[in-house]
Amino acid sequence: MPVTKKNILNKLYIVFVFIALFFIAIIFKMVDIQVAHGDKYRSLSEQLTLRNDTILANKGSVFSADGSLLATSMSQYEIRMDAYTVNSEVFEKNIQSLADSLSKMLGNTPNHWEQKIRKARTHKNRYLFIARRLGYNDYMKIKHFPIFNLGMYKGGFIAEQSTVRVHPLGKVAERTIGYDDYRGAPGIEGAYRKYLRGEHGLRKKQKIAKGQWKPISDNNEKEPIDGKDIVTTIDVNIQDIAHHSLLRQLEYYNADHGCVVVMETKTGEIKAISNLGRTSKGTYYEKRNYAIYETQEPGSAFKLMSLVAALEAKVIDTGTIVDTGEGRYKMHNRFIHDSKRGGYGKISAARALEVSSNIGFARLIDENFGKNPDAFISLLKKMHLHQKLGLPIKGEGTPTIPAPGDKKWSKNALPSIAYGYNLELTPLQTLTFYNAIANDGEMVKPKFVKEIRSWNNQVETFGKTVIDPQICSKSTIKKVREILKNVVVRGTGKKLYSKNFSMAGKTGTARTEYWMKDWETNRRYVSSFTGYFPTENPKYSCIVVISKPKVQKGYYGADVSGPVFKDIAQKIYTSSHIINKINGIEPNFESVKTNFERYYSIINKGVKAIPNVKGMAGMDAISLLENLGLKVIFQGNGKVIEQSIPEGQKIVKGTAIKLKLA
Amino acid sequence: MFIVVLMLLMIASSHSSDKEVMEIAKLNKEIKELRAEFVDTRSIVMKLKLESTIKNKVLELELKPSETPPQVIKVITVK
Repeated sequence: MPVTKKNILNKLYIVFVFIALFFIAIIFKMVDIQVAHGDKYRSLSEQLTLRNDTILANKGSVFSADGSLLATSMSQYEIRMDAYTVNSEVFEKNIQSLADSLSKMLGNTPNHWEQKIRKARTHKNRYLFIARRLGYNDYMKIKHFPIFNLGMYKGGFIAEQSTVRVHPLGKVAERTIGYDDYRGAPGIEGAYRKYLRGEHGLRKKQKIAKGQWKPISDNNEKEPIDGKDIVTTIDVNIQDIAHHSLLRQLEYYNADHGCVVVMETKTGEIKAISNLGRTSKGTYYEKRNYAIYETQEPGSAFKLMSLVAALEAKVIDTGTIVDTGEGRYKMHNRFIHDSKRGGYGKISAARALEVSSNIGFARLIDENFGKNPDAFISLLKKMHLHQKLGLPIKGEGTPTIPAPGDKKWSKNALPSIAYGYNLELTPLQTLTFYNAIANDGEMVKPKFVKEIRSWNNQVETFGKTVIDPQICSKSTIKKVREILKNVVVRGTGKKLYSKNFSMAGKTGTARTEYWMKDWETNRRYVSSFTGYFPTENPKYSCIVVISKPKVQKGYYGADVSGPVFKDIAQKIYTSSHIINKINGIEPNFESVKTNFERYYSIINKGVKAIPNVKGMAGMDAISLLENLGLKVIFQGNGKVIEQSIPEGQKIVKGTAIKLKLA
Repeated sequence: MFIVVLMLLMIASSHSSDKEVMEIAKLNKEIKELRAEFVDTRSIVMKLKLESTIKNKVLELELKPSETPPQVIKVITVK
């Protein structure tokens, strides 16, 4: 027996030694971790449970002048479906109505949706794509569809929220409003990004249950600063008209692209700007900001600038006669043509602008400035036509006006410039010049943004910027305004004339890409109309440029671009009131007076029972009784001679009373 | 004993602060949803009130925009 006891004891010692060794090892390791590697692990634990959280600043919104939202940040939803999780009984019962609902909302046939979901179910697809970029209202709708209304686990409904930048007005003015993301930063959003973005804040947070993070201290390391709001000058109504009118013309003429800009004359505020380009499918969308970036030969629109320069130099007057001959004229070994067959013969300089005679302008300028072209070019430059406008929106095209000595200069350069070739301007630059003419010579810079706001506080306002207080003499302006008015009354813009409202402007039909070999077989033009309205005290100036309309349908500025201009002018005209003031004619007839007094006295007394309306004028009696809650049935016309309910009876609302009038 | 009470208090308060955080997260989500609803609804309304939309809608009623502006008659009383 003692032997076995000792054996057990020995075994016990061995076990004890093992356990002791084990504990020593643990303690050793603990000390090792705490002391030797302590810092490393402590920082590791901090990394896992603590983080420096960025508090996202809300991005500012872009508003129109009247407070409509043009761009804002909003939640959008992507919908997916876990097709496998749904209980098969529920699935079979509801799949058809779900497919019906989906097809109604997202298009495609119910059959398509049913097939799609069934297929996903057999393939055990737990993440079937249904729709993306849904707005909140659509999201709420889809959430209540059969099956989906059972929720995530039973109905397999998966919605993923993300914050996106949206343009609530859709495609309207999209390019000018712009965006600021991985694609770049065009438009207003790009230009004012530093205001819109705000600054992200920082805050230390600790991990707690359910994957949430708890802030450690009360104070943020850095407070977030929300982005500011931008209020643009765009008027949603004018923008809408401009956009749809341009779209209609582009579609009809199957043109490549076009743009329209409406500018307030006095302030330079851009009220509407629309740029549409054609896709390969033939539809149009805001492709590029043509009005701002596209430099092109302005063609006939530039004749105004030539005329102003010539009038300023006092080398000609509006009455100066020029012989345009028979529509074909050879100058420096090159033929110049007029659009009218047979030509215009001998006409005045003013008439040359009205009918847009190339020969007229080439001769007027070449014969007066041929020996000293620098004088003409410097006059143009004095009117800032060679300068960029310096817009905050990036991508503005640089205008080019060649001068003697340049590569582009030749003997023919001067006469070409006279009628708008051999130089380049952007539509907005052309418009700025026309606006200066409309604004009595004060050239103002186009303005897109009115102010920057933060909630209801103005942060910064933008006044008008004057480029040049007087680009040319007032007498010249008076003369050319008269001619521009006549362009629409009896010149190339005759078709646009309306006797109801006035407008003035200049058509332009410029050849483009005429240096390409196929031009003769496939003619390409740029049709434009630039002007202002009304002719007296102009309120708005506007340019419409449409590139490469289908020549078979028409290509003249007045046909292609003019109607857009007219639509806008007409719209603005019809939405302003005409106030007729009439000097007080107060009717003063005895009978009217007594009638009214009787009516008035009954009302003032406060009626408790059916009043006596006999002898009262019909209209007074009816209004009186109806206001008491009675239903009036009447016969005849004039004064009341009979009433079906006698005076003094109690009023029961809704009962009918018959009146006989005579 | 006092220390135990203090510790209990501490635990309780830290839990309640956790709860607050959950609540804030919930409310934030709600703000986002309400904001989305606001913007989405507003954008629908804005599109509806655009003249081009109305023009097409009233075409069914054979109405079209006026070609002349409204005339306002203002009576001035001369005394």
